[in-house]
Amino acid sequence: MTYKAVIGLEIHAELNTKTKMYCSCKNSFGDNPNTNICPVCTGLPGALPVINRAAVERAVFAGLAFNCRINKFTRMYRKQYFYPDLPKGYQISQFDMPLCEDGIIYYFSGDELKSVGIKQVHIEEDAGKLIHDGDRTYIDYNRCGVPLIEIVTRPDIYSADDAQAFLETVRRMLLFLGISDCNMQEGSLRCDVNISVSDTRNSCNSERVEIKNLNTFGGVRRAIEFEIKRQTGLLESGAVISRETRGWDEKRQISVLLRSKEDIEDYRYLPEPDIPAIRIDDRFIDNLRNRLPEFEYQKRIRYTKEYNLSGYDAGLISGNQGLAVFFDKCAKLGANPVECAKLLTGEVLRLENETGISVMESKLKPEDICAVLSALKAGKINHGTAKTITRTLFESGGSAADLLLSPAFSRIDDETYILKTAAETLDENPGALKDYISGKQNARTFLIGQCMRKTKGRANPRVLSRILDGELRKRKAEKE
Amino acid sequence: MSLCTYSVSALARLLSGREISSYELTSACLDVIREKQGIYNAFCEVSETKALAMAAEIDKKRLTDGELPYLAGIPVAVKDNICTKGIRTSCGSDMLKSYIPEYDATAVKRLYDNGMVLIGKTNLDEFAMGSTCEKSVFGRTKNPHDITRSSGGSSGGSAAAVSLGMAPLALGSDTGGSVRVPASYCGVVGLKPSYGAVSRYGLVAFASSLDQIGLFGKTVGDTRLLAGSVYGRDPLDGTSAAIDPRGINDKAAPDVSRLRIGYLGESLLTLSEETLSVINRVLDVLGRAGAEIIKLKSEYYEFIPAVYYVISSAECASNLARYDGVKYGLSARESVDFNTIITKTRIKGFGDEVKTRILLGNFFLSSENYRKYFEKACKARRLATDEINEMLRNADYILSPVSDVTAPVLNSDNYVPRIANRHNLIANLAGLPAISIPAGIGKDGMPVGIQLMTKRFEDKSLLDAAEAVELILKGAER
Repeated sequence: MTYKAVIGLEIHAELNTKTKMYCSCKNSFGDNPNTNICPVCTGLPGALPVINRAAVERAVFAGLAFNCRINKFTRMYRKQYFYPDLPKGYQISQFDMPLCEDGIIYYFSGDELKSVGIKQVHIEEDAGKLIHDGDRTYIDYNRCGVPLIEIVTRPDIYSADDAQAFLETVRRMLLFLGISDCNMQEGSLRCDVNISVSDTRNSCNSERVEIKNLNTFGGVRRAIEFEIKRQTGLLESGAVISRETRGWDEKRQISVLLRSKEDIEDYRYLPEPDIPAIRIDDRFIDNLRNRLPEFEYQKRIRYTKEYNLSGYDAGLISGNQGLAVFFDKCAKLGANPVECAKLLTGEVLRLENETGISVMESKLKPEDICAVLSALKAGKINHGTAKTITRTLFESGGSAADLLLSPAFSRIDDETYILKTAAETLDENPGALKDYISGKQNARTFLIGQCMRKTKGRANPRVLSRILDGELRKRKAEKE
Repeated sequence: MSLCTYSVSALARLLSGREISSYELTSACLDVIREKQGIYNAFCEVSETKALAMAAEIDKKRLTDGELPYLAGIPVAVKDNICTKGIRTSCGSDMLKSYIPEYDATAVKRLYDNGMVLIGKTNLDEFAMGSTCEKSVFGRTKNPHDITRSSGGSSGGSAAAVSLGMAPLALGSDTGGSVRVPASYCGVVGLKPSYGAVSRYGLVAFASSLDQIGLFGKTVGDTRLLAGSVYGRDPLDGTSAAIDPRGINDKAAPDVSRLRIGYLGESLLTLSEETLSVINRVLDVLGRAGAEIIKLKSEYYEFIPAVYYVISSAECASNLARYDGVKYGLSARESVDFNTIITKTRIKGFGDEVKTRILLGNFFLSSENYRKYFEKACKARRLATDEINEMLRNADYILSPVSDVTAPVLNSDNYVPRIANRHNLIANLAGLPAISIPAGIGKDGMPVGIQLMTKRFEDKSLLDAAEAVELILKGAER
């Protein structure tokens, strides 16, 4: 491989505080344009920002989750540029003293544990939204001043796959922390990609190209893939890649030049004089640290190490917050972890997807899963019944113990009944019977399945097997 | 004698005893305004109808509610860079010539809460940038003592209004002497409170880390009454401080013989003859009254104007970025694209002084100059602040000139405010309270003010000392 891509991300996540970053306007998506605005967030002359402590708290929480150092003394800066959706002519953001610095995020890409360095996490405000209508442009200031964190990674990502896996992990972490809705359709999670492809044969490094404002995971992946191809092509033709800002055109599936090196803006950062320096004490940090949950990668490692789950099952469970909590409860109640994981990643995950209800919101209880699993182990029910009971409990509730006792689910050991079923099945399937007699063994498997279907999976498999074989022998002898 | 010449405490007594009504008092002020506004141009806008309605309202309240706040019914003028809901706030600029705020500044709200009557908005240098009140889109404000001279600036309109008896009290703003200079030139008292003592919410920003709403009165006593109504923490201003406004009015005139008063030798070197003779006389009077006079030496004095201009221009450039013709104020809205709208709007809307400072500020903040200028200036500010705070351990107050000169003639070519008024800058850079009080008349017949400053948030102690000095100077005149 002679060309190597190095990728860094800047992830913007809107925080789910009640009010905006610097005023008491409602932080809410989808309201009528310009209904959540005031002199502060629309930058009227004389209005002053006052920092929202809840936003600082969420940002520090994220910083701790990303293993960052929290700066106990930090300040806001004005990042200055002119744009119609930016009412003050500057965005209040951070610069050389961000709230959180030097962290690391672990994530799984496929089965491999990887990590990305976090340069910084800082707080800032969102801008308004331009609405174009024909040759007119309208401005909705509702989003102005909505609190954001910007997560800046180090250039530790080397492929589109890894970028996507990493982003998905970050999204789940933010959701898990409960600090952002991470709704990509509503724009509450957005990403800029910095990418540079260089030729490993010579030491001359390419400059980075920034792709702005990607708001789908697929977009990020496709933009990276496109950009790697584009830059590789340029290098192959002998061109030099210099710093520029590009945008992703989702329709045409290409990146387009926004600003070249000469036009890259000088943001003329100014320490924000209206907001005093932010001081954060140890108690504030410790309180948040104590509230940190166990993260996905930690869970995944624990599941494979302590419970012997496959990487696949561990990944599925750890990546689903509700399922993980549910699984841990089942394991604590003594469920066999591997069997439990199978049931959760099979039937329960399917039910979640079908119904759109998470297991934690469903009527299924960990105790039920334990009861189902032990009945399964004792041979009282088979897998099919286990699934059926799980589905019934998930949808309608009730207790597994009751269901297991109910005749509708109990195993059928009655040999007369099973014999009758076997005979009927053979009568109904003369073709398969003929195949069996002519020596095709898989015809037997088919006939067993048909018998099971007739009994709704409740026939005692050993008894059925014995009786069906007897019946087959009988029919074969008759034929001969 | 017109009611307008009475002290505020006398007026408050007359109002509360119902010997006069607020309507009468407000009408008397409006009479003076009608008579003199044409000559001096102290106001951008006189809100006559609203003022009379407010006064009548207060009079009615006094009949029905009985006890009202101490200053209820007293007229007050407000500089036109402080937002007043429903009343144009132009900042003396083409940019905001027709801008009517939809909210009241906290200071204005507090005036209203105290039942005071807003009589009008006073003239200023555009966006409070200037020292002569000549750079307003509404024309110049002339000096009440000599119409061929400047009223000083940028709060020239407020100083002149108080001096002329158009209003007993006024609000101004002070970023680098903009209250103290016009107070000195017009012969009134001008107080720049500690940074954070009065909420800046609704004060149209020039340089946010230096800006402070300031107060004008004919005497220290009058001024401190106004302080009592506007001081205090405001949750809408993150830089405001919790000073108890009630404490401000607890007068405790100190014994001058126990005061330690410092002055900087450097500050006397460039004074005009008029100013120097007044300052020397003040030092002499205070010395003879038993005050300990301490000569201090500053290492940073000569750098302070440079530090001030870098920081104030940088913040100015940033604060004025919001005037883009999109949301309010002047707009070249006939243009089709944003870049043309903003460019045309700003070219037309800002005057030369403002444009110069915006250009300078952006120059200092550009990525290649940030370290060279802005960062250095911030460090120097820290050093100068530490130095003056250290001086204030040995001296209770520092006495200094307000300006090297008395009010300059209008259109003066040889008036360099950056040098002449540099004595004011340290109080803004260090956030100290400072007050300019009339100290005498120069040989040219123009008033000369002197300045006292003290530790941050010791505003009450500053007012106490200023009142004592005012008294002893008055005694010495006789």
